[in-house]
Amino acid sequence: MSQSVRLLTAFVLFLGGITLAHGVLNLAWLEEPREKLFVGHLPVT
Amino acid sequence: MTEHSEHGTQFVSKKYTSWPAMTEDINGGTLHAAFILAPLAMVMAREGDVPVKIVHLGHRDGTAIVVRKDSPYESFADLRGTEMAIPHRYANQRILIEKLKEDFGFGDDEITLIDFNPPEMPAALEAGQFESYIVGEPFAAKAEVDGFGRVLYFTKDIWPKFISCVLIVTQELIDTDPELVAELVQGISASGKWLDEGDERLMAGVHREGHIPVDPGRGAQVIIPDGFGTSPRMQAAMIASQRQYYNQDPELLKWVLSRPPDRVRYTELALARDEMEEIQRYAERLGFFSRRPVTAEDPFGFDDYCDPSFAESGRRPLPLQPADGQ
Repeated sequence: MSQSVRLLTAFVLFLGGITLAHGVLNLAWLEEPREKLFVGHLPVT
Repeated sequence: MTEHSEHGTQFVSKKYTSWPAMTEDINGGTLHAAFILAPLAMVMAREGDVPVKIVHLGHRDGTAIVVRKDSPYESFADLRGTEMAIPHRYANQRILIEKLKEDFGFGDDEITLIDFNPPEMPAALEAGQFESYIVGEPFAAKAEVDGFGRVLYFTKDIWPKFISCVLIVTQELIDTDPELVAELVQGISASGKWLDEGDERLMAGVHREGHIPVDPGRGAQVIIPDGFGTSPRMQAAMIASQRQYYNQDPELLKWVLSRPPDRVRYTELALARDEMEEIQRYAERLGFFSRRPVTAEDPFGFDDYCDPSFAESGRRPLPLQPADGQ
């Protein structure tokens, strides 16, 4: 394997790793358990 | 109440100081759920920029006509020729006054109605700006507690099961997240049942003074002082008095929820077609839909502004602490 192919493979693996890490983190954020909804009101019944 | 729950959606109170500010946010697409005056909700559904539906009631009764304690008024008939403050021209309180005018044979001009911001009504009555006002709590009780006002009528005595505020949500929210709407509606329904019929178990996040756990958990914590009471209504008074909700004196809210206990009720909150249609008939007669009048060619009815399905779709348990956890 030529030096350039090894460099390219390493770069692709690096990019893949970054993407995978982002994906895992994003999934973790998506799994934050609670949704939030604002409900408007006046201080009067 | 679900804000204090361990699971599920966090419903966050967003407090407004005027109805126009709230309707502006709804029409601007930045607010998707709100408690709002019933006829105003109908007007929004008919003429607003953003389609909305009424999905539940907020409470029943909880409105009173107040006069100065030292005034001679003993009946609505005595208010002939006076000025009365109302919370909004599209309020059911205005419709109630129109009904009373009919019952007591008033002409159109024999009582002058003035739109007035509810929080400012008690001080304005004391200052003599008008002879009476009609408003939702706690601003009727405020004049009583401060010693210068008295209740001429509770709505429960002149229009039983009176409807003031209703819960509206945008059609966009219904279409995109109906489960969220169902969770909100069922949470309100369950909270109301707890308020009117619940036992003395404490709601999650509520603690007796001196009995605060070392690790109280996440979410807002509410401390009930000794002697305040721990019935559901007293717990609710303490919760609602917090800055993020009503930001009112807890003793004032305690008064509202207990003097008398049926001054405001939180059960029977499902939408009833006949009741909403009665309000709509008055709204039409009083010209509330002036921009787009209801006609045979352009009809408007219960199904156009109400969606009762969310209350009917299930029940939701409340996060109550076990009785032995006190």
